[in-house]
Amino acid sequence: MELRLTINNLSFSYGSSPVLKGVDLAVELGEVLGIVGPNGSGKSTLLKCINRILKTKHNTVFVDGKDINKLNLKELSKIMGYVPQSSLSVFPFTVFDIVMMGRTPYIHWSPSEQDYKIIAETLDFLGLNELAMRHFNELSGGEQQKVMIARALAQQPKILLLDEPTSNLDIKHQLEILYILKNLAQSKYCSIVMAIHDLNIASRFSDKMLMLKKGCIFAAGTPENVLTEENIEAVYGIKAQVTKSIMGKPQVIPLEPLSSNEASETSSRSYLLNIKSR
Amino acid sequence: MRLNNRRDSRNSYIESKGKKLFGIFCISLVLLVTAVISVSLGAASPGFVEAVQVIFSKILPFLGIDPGSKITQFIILELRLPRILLAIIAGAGLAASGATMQGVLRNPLVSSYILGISAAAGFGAALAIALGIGVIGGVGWYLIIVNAFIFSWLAMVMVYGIARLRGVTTETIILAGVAIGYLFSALLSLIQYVAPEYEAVRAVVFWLMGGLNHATWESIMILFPIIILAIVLMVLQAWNINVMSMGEEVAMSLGVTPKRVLTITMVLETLATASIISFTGVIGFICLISPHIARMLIGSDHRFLIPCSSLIGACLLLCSDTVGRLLLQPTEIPVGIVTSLLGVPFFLYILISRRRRIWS
Amino acid sequence: MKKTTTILITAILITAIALSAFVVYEFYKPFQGLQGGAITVKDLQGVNVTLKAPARTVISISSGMTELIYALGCGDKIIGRDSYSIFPPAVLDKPVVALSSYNPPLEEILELKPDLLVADSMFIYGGNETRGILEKAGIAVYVDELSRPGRVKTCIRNFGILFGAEEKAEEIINFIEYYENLIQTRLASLHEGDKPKVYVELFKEWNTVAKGSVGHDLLEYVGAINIAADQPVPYPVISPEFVIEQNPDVIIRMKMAKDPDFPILWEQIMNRAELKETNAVKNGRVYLYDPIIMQGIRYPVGTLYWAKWIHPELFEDIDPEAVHRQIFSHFFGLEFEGVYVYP
Repeated sequence: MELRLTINNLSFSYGSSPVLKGVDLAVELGEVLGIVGPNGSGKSTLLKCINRILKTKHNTVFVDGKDINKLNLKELSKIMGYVPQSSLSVFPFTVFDIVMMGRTPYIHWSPSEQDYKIIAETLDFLGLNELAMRHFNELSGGEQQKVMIARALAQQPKILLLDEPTSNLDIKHQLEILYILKNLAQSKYCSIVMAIHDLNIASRFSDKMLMLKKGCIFAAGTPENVLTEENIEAVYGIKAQVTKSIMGKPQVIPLEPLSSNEASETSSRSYLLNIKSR
Repeated sequence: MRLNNRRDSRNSYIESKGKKLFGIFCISLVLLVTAVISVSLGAASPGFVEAVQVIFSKILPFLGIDPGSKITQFIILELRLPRILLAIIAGAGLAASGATMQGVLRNPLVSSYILGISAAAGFGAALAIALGIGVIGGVGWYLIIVNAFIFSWLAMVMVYGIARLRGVTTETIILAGVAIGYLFSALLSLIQYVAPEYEAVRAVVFWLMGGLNHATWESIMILFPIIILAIVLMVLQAWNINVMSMGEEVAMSLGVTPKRVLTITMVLETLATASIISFTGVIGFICLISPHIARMLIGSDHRFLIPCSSLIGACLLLCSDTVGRLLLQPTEIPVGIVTSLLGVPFFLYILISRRRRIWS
Repeated sequence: MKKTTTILITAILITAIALSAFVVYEFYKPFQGLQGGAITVKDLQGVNVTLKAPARTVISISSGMTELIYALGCGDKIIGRDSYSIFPPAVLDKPVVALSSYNPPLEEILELKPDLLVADSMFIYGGNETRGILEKAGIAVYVDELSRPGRVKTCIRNFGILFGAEEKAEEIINFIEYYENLIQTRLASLHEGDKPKVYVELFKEWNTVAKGSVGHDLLEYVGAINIAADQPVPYPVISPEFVIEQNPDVIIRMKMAKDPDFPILWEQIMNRAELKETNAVKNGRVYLYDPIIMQGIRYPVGTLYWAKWIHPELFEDIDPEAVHRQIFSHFFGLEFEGVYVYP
């Protein structure tokens, strides 16, 4: 059981407000870890702490047993790839240019033949060959996301971090991308850590899951262990039904939000009545 | 089939790279032609033939070409040629700085004066002029240059210092730059009000308009190596700038330290811009327009963009100066005015044409 | 692959630098430039202006200096002028080579190759390189400021030397000194209490002169109290309330080309609300003048007008216009014309 990524007691605060408290996790080689939790629970922050975009204490994050704080950013970027939530390109770059940026940790001035080979193969792997010379800003959301993943893959990372990789995509693109990620993990090419807000996607495509509530780990383990009706109610504040999908994984059907107090219910009812009577 | 596709994307890229290099080569030719035309035009009589004679008699003395009268030689070699070279090197430096700063600050409306450098240099020069520091005494002109240079650096240091308070990022640098720019603008206006000599006030205004008439071989010899050095170092940072323009988080995930890149580019940019301003006053728009044009021709890869932008900047400034020299004889329109006038139709064009959005 | 690229790039860079160094060196070899000469004067910047012999040809890019050269009888030596040099009328035939002394375009000047170029202080603010370039080409450059009374006589004397017209120069200086003595003698017996308060306005409303400016020195010279003397900057813009409070006895205003005609301008000032209650307006002691009468060879005229306006009793018998006429006829051989003061 090779542990690719280990996190010990990670805490992080923005200024004086704590965002993450005492987070522990472990990701094995070829595993997909899905991190879920409501807005503001610290999913994005956790990812950024892992690849040192946000600075944490020493001896907190380990890759292959090595403390990441001992590596410089360049060495770290040869190990970890990061796909942010939204992709922004202020200037017009082609798809090829952007994927080529993924080779930055290995290039001094100009890409070598080896680099070009890797870029071409990555483009091919993600089915982006026809789009290679197109401008990034002219692509659809799904295609842009693929390009960003291609860029991260060009880094030849051991760990791939993705922040909401499928949030703005249509169903087809969602599935395409998730299958690609699963493929990558299963072929032991890299391990994947992704923050997802769609519980069913997380359930279907993760080997292990982490549920965060207000910066702390509420639940960890297999999807079956984590996605229980009690957990969902406690963390998300909704009533849900959890069944088994055709794939054999837990499927969450949200039912209704649990109102925080009776008073708000009555006031919303009276508001609607007032509106109607006008 | 798949094998072919893989080759295709790489080949298309290599092809596009070849096109870009060819484009740069073409622009270099345009620059050369413009330079030749400029050296042949002027208020005095020496024209194309005389210019060629003079120049070649110097470069290839063994051919024994007759250089013409002393005055012809003087006009070509001491007046026109230094001025043309100054236009080229200043235009290149400003354009390269503009492209670099736009890339690193992720903002296509940034000029190389974003760090408040132009206002600070203007203030430094005005201080020297207005306090009459040795101007009447005759030595003072060099003091004006030095002062403008010193204050430009002061502005950069102040911007960097302020930015450090909140972390050196794109936003903090832009905001700090704006603030420092306003500070020195206000101080400059104060100087203009207080200046003991009326002529000093007018002189400051003229200096701020930007002019290339102080071109001498000495100034070329000082400026040339500085600008070439700055541009080369900027191009070496080009890859990092590419990555920075995708966002600071992405940059960090690719192993690029934004703070380091920002610092290096700020220093290079100040070096180039401050040196140029000290000799030419404030010439606007070259640093803004050249990167845009270059981007339309050659894309955003800064390894090509920065050199291309430099060449285009050199062409633009050279043209502007030649027009300014010749339009209303015997007077010369300060080159800063011509470039500002250039800026208007350019930006209108961007506004109106919807062909391709230059930025998102 | 990387190594060869680096070596190639370094090689190219070194070749480029070497090539440019060679080219620059070739072009930089200096021209002969000016050599020493028998005639030397010091100009405004303290630069030694040397000529081998009195100047045979000159380009003047200062209107005051153009006048002066004609007054010295050397008008035919002028081969080029600036656009502001329009007096005497004979100079209009000469080619215009520059707008003013500021940043004159050099190509035409070089082609005309005068012995000497004379300019006013705006030349300095254009940058020292211009002087260097001209001297390199063998053209001497003389800079002075004829609008500063302290320099007028020095400049005239220097011009006398430069043009070989020392006698005529002395004549002009004597002429000027005669009137300087006249003014000083008559003002000698003046007490502080006799000095009227004067408000001088330059060409912008409320823009006046204070200590450190030429205008202030002139006021003191003609025995007046400058109401704005102690303002912090030499050319301050003061508040109307201050003027009302000070209540000047005399108001003098400079009229530029862009101002309306004398009578209209005079009416405007007399009717200006803030000035209505001042002694000056109530007694009709408001005077306008064209600054040309204060500069160069005409400066006795200007000072006489100011003296007369401020101390009418002391200069009753003096007619400044007569002096002006004399300058026209004696030094330029022309009929007097033009209106330079009002009323």
